[in-house]
Amino acid sequence: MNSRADTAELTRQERAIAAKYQGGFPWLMAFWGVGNSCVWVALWPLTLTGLIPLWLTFIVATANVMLSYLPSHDAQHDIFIARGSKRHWINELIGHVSIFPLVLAFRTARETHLGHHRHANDPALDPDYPSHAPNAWAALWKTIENRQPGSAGKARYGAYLTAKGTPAAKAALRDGLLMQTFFYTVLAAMAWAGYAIEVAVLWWLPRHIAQTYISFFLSWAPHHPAQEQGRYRETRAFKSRLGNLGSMGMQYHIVHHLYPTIPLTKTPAAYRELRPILEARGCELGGLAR
Amino acid sequence: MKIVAAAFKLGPFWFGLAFLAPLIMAVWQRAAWPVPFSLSLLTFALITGGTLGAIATWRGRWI
Repeated sequence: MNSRADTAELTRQERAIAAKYQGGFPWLMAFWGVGNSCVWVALWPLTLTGLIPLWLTFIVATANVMLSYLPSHDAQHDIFIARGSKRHWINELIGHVSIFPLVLAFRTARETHLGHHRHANDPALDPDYPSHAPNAWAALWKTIENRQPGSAGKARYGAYLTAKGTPAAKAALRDGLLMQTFFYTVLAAMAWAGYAIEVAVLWWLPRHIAQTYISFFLSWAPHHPAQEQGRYRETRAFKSRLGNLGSMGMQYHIVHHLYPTIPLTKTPAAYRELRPILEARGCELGGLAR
Repeated sequence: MKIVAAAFKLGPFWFGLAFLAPLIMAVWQRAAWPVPFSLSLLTFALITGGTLGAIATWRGRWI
């Protein structure tokens, strides 16, 4: 077999394996997304009435906000219900409801995330490029840098959507601004109503911690060192010290970039089956055997 | 939309007055710390929150 035939055969095998993991309704992700947001909403009356202590609110709310992104991420790729179906609204509902605690509008997240897939590791075009850093400590610091009011990282999503200029991008930009306005209005109103500490531990501080976690594990770690572009080199597999659960499945992020419609919960199994092909493709697998 | 965008440019200053100030008040009250310079707690919190926000607006960064 010549090399072109080898490549074609690898592609055929790769697609056949991926097809086994695509499709179906990812119930766990749906319960995760909706259930997590329900718990977070329930925290508000429990905290404001003093039924649970502030330290417990802080721990649970932080977990809620950290967990809020990934179910929406599956919805961004229309994994719950495919676009064109009469029931696609269920996909959109899960996407909107699950990501709400993070104060990232669903349509903003979708437009910028799909842009990330199209332009991964492109310094000029990848909306997530500002999370890149030479090492883990620098990446953690970068997440803080990117939240400073005058930083280019903070303005990146807005700049990307403005430059894109499509109706969907304009809607995403509007949603993002409205979401931010709503968030800061709630913070201020609650604070002046006498619930400043409560709203700080329910939403403000948990969101900061979650943004650091999400930027580190969902953006920096799977793309580091982020110097190459192209289907098989723009992301990697890696072994996390926090394990697969602690890194929220991001060890297998390479599977997601190759086949974005495989649900998060199926990427480990898909990776194990795809691994020999990914090795043959020259992917960076970071010693992740299983 | 333009008004919202313009308001966001002064975001840190508004944030200092609208959120940090009442948060400072609440923390001060809970800790029962004395308010410096014989100021009322509200005045102290508005000055502190507003100043932090103004500095962050000017520098383009909180830390």
